Amino acid sequence: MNSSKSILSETEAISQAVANLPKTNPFTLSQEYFELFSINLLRTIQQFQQKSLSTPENYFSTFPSKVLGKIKQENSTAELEDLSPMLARMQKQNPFYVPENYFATFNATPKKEQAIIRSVFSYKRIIRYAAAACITGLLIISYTYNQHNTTSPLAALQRNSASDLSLESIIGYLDEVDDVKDDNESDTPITAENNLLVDINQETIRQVLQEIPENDIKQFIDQTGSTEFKTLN
Amino acid sequence: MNPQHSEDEELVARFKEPKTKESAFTSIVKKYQERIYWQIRRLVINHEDANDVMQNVFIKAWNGLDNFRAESQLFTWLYRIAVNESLSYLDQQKKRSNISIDDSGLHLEEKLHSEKDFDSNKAVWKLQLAIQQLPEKQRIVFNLRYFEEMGYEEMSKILETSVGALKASYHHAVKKIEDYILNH
Repeated sequence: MNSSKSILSETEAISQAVANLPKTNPFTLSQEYFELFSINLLRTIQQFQQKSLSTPENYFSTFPSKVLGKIKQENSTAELEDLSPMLARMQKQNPFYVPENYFATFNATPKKEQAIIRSVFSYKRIIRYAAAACITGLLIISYTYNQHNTTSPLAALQRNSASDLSLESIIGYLDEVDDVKDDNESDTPITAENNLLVDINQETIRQVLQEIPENDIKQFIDQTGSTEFKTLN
Repeated sequence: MNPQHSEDEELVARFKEPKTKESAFTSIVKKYQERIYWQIRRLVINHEDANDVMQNVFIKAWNGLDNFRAESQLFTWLYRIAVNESLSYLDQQKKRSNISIDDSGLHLEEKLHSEKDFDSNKAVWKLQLAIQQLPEKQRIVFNLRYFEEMGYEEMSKILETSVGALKASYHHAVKKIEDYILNH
């Protein structure tokens, strides 16, 4: 009753017109409907269950043989006639010779052969696989090592040994190196000791000095205080 | 414990026993058939259609009661089946008759017109005509609240919708019905 009142007041709050409408049921229905409904329903359920569950007697026990019979019947002769009418007309006689009383004296018991026991787990197989793995590993390692060595500059230099290079090419290379050094303004002074390719002797120095004016030499000596060059000339 | 709930539990327990299965089922059907019937009838209009749906509902109940775990009340469970079956039935009818979603209200209106003693001038029939204009969900909510006087909590379990959404649905449904009645 409380819920009816609350629902009515809720509806009134939304729409007075709707709340005022009569709640009478306009639909018609026979009086016996509900009395008979449960009985009719159970009958329907029982019929449904019987239909879905019933099968003829011995259905499953005879089913395989019936199916096989049908398969054999179907088309075996008709198929042969389609493929080769001549073969279909030929008599099905067995031409092979069988000794007399063969089937009567046939011993059906099989020989007791012992099955070969093969081990699933085989040491030989494992050893073979291990050896193959080791060899493969060694090959990979040596290949990788070789590759590393052949790509280094030192290896390249060793490959191209000095006997393959001419003197002109070495001098030309050194000239290029000198040019690069000049460009880069090397910090290390070029001295006689580290300029190994220049043959320095007294005669060469004398020739160089003769080209330089005496006054310049004197000036140089006075500045450096060196007595070395006084004995040259 | 709610006495109705304990009675339902006993009926379900008896249903699960092979010897008392049919008698328990008959008791359940007799207990809920009218309420479920009218809920279906207000949705499908036609008695023959309602009878078909009723049978489907209780056959489903027969097949499903063995697994019923009483997590919800028996009535709530039956109502949920009834609502789903009604909607499925209406969908099938639409597909068979090639009726679009927009025309489904019109289709039900035509069914109302063919009902015995139909009189569009009478308020009760006008209300039914107004209800058929509503979208399906609103129609169900309005019927459950207005005619069944069902609480929102119980309705929420049947329709698996929040209470807030149901309140909003009822509000919109009442407004649309008012609008229809005032304009027709």
